[in-house]
Amino acid sequence: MNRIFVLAVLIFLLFIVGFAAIRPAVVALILPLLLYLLVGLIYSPDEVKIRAERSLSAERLKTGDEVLVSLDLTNLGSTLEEVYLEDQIPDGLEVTQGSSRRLVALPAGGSVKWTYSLKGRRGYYGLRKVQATAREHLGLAERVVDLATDGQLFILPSVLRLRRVAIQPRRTRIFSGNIPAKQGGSGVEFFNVREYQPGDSPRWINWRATARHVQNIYTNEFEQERAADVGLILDGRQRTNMFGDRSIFEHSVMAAAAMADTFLNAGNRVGLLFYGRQVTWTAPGYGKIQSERILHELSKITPGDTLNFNELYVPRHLFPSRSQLVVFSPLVQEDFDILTALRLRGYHLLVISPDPVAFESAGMARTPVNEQASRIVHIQRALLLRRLRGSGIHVVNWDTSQPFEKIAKRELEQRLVLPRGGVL
Amino acid sequence: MTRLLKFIFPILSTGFLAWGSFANGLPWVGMGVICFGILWIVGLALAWKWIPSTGLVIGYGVAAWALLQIPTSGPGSNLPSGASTVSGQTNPGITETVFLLGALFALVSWDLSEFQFRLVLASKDDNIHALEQKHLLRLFSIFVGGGILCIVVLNLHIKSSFEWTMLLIIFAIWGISRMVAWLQKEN
Repeated sequence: MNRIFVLAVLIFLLFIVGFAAIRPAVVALILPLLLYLLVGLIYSPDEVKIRAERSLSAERLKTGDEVLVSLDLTNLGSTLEEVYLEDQIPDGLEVTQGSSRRLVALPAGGSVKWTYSLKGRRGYYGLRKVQATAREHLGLAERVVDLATDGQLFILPSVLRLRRVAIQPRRTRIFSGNIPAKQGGSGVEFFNVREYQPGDSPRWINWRATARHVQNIYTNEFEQERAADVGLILDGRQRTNMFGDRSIFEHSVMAAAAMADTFLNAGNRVGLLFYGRQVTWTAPGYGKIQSERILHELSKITPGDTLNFNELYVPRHLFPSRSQLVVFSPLVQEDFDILTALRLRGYHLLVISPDPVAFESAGMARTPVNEQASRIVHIQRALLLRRLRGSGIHVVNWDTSQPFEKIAKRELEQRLVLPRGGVL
Repeated sequence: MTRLLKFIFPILSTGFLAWGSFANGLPWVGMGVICFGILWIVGLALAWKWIPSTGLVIGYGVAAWALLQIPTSGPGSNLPSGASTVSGQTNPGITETVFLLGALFALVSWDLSEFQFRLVLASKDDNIHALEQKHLLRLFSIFVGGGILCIVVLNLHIKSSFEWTMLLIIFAIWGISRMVAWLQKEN
């Protein structure tokens, strides 16, 4: 209840009653209340002029790491008898050590410094203001001011280290990498046998073939390994990722971070396309800088409603036909047409699909109705995955109760042998 | 310190109000005040946000109502001597003083409870002791100043005409309204 309002009501009531009954003792009761109000008015804080400076021990963090926030506030105005300072921490961050608030007296020119630790979940956070509430000692008059500060924090998704991800796009770039290029040359894997040419190493001579053909010498040819274009497409649709308060989206983000890191470490050219509340592109690139760009982008994105996924457009100038696309999506039935259309356009598709049925079932009560419903949806999903595989799309069904490393080791490290016709 | 004082002052407030009520033949009021006092203490222990304001309103309400019910201190009062009239002139009696103290302690208790709610927000690095000292000093000065003002007003006998009294009332209402409005605007 507003304290001034309580005092005002009390004063007016006593005033009316005291004068109506002509009782000086009742009117006298008002005086301490009036004095209280008067003192509050006299000592009410003037304009609040506080300079706030913030420094962070790091602007980029991995999920689970802590950052030290230091605040230095200096009073540039008149004395403030009681100031409550509260750093405005966005949702998703939590204080782990120290406190984000202080209750202090700040004399003119005085300052207060303090530090505290924060950690939080993946995201981009702007730490842009400290709220100052100045009061006199009685707390009747108060002034609330937002003090602007600089500060931003990127909490990046954790990056799992995968040994390798075996992909076989039909189109590779000219730079060397570790993607089999279906062309003979220097490499590791055996590719072909051809006639000896001057300059070939004697160690490559295929003695068995040479013994059969006395006229010629034959050498082994190895499959060239080159870098490839890899487009990561992250599905951020609300309807496919959110199940009440629970979201499967973080699993997709984690998988995308791990795959991006692995592909970039192998020398590939990687880009990221995110379909969420808005469509955002991280243009393809190589190396550590690109890895940072992608991680920054992954730290910022949140699921949202979009219809764009139904018209998924992959620009050909960035990802030419026959290059590799990796889609991270829980998948819904309508996605079949979109993914097969991409396949028909010549892209080599790998779909990492966190299993939404297992994820949602884990959060539901175990009742016969729920279990039956879960079974039906599971069958529908199994059929969808089967149809996708039948269309030549490599689909990895990921039960999120298992770690991604395990799934990746089992399903992504081995080179996939395509049956005749390229259909799985 | 504030934590302790915020429990002491409701006891003092209800104690004085109950004493005054019993001494002036208002036992049911006294019993009611004691019952509310218990509720007040429980409410403070459980940090009910509404209890300090309710305590203030009830403390002042009971004091005002009791002062209206009883005749001016003197022969009708059971309180110890020192009240009553001196050479035919009415002086502030013990009855008024007791109820006045009860109301004043209610005001102090209200203030300390609200201050305690603010102190809860402080971090462990804050110099709470210094803040408490300054707060209590100011509260004490209001308590003493308010008490002295009350005694002065009760002793003061000014004869004025009806017109002047009405003018004074209107001026007082206007002044209080302005003060309240200004404070509200500040917030």
